[in-house]
Amino acid sequence: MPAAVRLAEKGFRVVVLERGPWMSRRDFIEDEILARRGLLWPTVEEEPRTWRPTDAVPAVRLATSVQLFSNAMVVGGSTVHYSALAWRFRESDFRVLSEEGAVAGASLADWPIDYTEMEPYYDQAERLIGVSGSAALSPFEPPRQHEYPLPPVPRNSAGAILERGARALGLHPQPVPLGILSRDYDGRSRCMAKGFCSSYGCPNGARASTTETFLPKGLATGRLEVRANSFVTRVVQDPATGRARGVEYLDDSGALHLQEGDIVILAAGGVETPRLLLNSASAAAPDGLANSSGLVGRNFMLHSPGATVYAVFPEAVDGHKGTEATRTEMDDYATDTSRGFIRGGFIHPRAHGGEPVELAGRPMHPAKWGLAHKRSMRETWRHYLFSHVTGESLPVEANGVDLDPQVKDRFGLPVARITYTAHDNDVRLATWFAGRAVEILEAAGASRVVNNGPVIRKLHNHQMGATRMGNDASRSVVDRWCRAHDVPNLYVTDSSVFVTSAGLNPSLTIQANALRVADRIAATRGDPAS
Amino acid sequence: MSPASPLAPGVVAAITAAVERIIPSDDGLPGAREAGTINFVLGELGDAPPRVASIIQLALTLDAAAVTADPLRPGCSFAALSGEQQDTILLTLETEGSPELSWLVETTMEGFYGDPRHGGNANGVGWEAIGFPGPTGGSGYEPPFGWYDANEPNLPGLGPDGTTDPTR
Repeated sequence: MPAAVRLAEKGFRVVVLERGPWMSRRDFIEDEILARRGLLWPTVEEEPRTWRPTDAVPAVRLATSVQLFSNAMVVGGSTVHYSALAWRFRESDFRVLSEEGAVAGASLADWPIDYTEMEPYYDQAERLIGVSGSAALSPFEPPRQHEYPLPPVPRNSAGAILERGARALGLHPQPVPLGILSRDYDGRSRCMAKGFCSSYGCPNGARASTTETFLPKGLATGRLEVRANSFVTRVVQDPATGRARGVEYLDDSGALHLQEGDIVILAAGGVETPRLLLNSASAAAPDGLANSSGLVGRNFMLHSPGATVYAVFPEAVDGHKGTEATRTEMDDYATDTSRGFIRGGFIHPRAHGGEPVELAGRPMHPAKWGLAHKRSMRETWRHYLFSHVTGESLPVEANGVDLDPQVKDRFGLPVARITYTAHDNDVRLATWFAGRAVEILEAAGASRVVNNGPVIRKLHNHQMGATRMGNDASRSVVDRWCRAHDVPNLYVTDSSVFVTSAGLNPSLTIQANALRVADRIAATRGDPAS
Repeated sequence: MSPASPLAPGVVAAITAAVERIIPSDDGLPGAREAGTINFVLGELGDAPPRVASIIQLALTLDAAAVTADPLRPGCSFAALSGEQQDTILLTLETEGSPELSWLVETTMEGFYGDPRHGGNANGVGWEAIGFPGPTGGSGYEPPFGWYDANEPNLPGLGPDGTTDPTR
């Protein structure tokens, strides 16, 4: 969406094809049952995906519990429901191979771009979506030309607890930069701290869903058209010129259309973009479009298999109020090899947002049902929080997305088959950070802490790397401008182009990079020769 | 007791009894019975035939176990057992990893702690039981939100409302 809107503003006529519906604020109901049934997501019956740990074993269908919440399929995509952590990647995140050297079993590489090139676009993205944060209060911030456009959102008790624990350990707690408005901004109202935040659409538009930020500006140009319920089935390549003619898509009646275009930009997400390229195979591109390197779908990353740590506190946390994560510590982000792994991440204790059914299934009760469970629900509801740990995952070439040979979607197209086993470094990182989270929460005075340990990652909402960006056409899928090496008018602007994952939420980097790419397209009018 | 259901009364009785042990009322506080959770559970079965088959299987398993549990009462059903006896049977099924029971536990939680608009959690008793006022329906909250943000010193320059920043 950021690229589409930027191009419309620069005079291009743009059609956005979105497979899901176009929902509005009034559709976003604070109802946990609806969220669990997939208000924003297709069901596993409609849109199955499969997973296997390695190519040595058969794939199994992903369960609803894994697949749900792994990217909404609506106009606005995951920004409709994301927890809106709006990080800039750090300077070192763009040059991991140079910083760390080669690592066995990992396909580390440097990005073909660096932080300096990205900084102006991070700055624009922060201003366009309205990021609340404080560089002055964030000691590990990378260089930036401007302070955040908005001060931090009000701290919740999960944030105060992080501060308390981090201070006790001599760490440096800081606000989490959030794409959630702490004040009225750009015609939008500030967050009303109502809970039901992450996984829910925001009914007053305070969260930086692209339907609230970019889209209205695009529609105002009169040059941007959004077609919802339009599922793109393949990119059509002209065999004579090698250029993309456009895309074929199915509308909600099942009718097939061809949308021609001078330029085609894919931003279908870290799983669906590589799937679409592979489903676009033709006589001219038998292994999938833009795939002469054989790397479409490879080097897929899902972030470290982070433990979730649960903690109960003696006083009320009242996590049904406020936004979710408001404070974090970045002290542990840089590589420290004495910990037994490279790279890092951060810890973000969260308000639970008001989901009692979710609490009922959490691993902090003495029993799963019965009187003891009922008592535990009463004793924990107002007193508990959970902490996510987000950490870098190393790219592994064998991890990837390809087409399942058996399973088809509701349109009869092969679904994405995910092959994924986290690199050992990811597991060591996740284990260490979970221990760190336990340490912080105990230092803050938790009466009970439950660490569920690293999980087996099959899918996650952070999906990156499967159409890697690079200068070498034999070792990457798109170039430094995110243009396919093989198809001169085909671009990818989602997290598929990430070379490494950083230990930070990807959204702001996706948006900043999309703006960078759109500016390039506008400057060259899409002419690859320029 | 229940909305129109394709299930035989004996099946409904066994499932109802199980639901009322998953969130019991023995502590004198409202449980699944008072919340009408069974209505939600039966509603969830509605248009999913494989689910109906597996819930019938679960009811038959519970009744078969009841016969074994109380040999002095030939033909005894699960619903007629004491709460303690019912718990023992459910625990055995849980230990065996019964997917049907696992579904019933999850769905019972939804029908007790989920939004009343779906037919369970009557009058919000499930929310009241834990101290959740329910969704604000558009009014939201102002800080402080909990004890810790009210009492833990904030970062320098940030006031009690969290955003007061005199430098801007």
